Amino acid sequence: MKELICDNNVFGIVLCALTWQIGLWVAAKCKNPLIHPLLVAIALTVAALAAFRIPLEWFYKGADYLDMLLLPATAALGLSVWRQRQVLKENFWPVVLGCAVGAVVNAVVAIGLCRLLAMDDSLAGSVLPHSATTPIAIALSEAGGGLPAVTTLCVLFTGIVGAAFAPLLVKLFRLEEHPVAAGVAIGSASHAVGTGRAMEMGPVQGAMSSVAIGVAGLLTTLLSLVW
Amino acid sequence: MNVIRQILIVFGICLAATVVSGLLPFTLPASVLAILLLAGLLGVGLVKEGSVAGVCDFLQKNLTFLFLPAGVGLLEYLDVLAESGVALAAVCVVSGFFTFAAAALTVRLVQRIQKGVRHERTHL
Repeated sequence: MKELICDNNVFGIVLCALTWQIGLWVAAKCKNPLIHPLLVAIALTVAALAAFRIPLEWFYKGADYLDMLLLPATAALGLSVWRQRQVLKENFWPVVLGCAVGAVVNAVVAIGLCRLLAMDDSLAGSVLPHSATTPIAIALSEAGGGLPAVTTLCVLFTGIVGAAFAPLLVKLFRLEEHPVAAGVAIGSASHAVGTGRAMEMGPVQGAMSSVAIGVAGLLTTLLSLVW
Repeated sequence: MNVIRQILIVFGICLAATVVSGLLPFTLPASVLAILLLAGLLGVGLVKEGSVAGVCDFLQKNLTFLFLPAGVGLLEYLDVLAESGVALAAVCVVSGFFTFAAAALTVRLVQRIQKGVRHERTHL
């Protein structure tokens, strides 16, 4: 019976959609920025698979169809960047240099910490791209011998923590009057999850943050070529 | 809105990016190439916003959900997480903080320099 229900092309999709709905509901109820719908959904899906001893192979028969959509969904970022071309043009150097320095500092600090903590290569490869947006981070992680699943979690964790502390950081660095700087910093450090928070702060912050995801992602990729 | 035509354009760009990414002698993710390709085609006007917006906006709006399968893969690495979870979290938080600081301060610095240059020009 279990095989009949779970070993097919639909089960994985249904389980993902179901746990996602529960995740949205839980996150809305909690109103705690550290409780993210995706985090809840991952935990629930993992718990369900473990509790009913459902092989991952069965799950991925359906879930792979969702995974397949990641590439076109990332490509769609091209449309967002193109839509922000005016803002990007007006603030070209601050945005590009801000993202570049952010990406370099990110890599240097992360590599330094990995060495300090004596992490093995696959673990370091998984955590290094943690500030890039997930699809870019996963691709970089695979290329660098990392574990994509661990990378997904690192990216998500970075984004959630970044979004939760963004208002505090904006105050700490006195960026209340500097929406471009705030947006670029939030997007560079905490990608799309942080951008959601940046949009709540204002349209300029949101636009700069979403541009920063694209620019920082590209620069992180270039940086990983050199490394 | 012709959905199939939009899928043809967006997935066609992804296919082209995948092929080019495979041919390149170094690692440049297909996803990054696809972003550049789409933005470039929009920029030169070969692709119109209206002929991709429907599919792109739908995918973008639901992007977070699409990471669920990748995240569930961590089921195979629970031991890694139990062993190194704290170290991984520390790397994320610390380097995230420095990234924020570096990006914010750089933007402010560049803005100040640009303002200074403009200021000088008006006084010449």
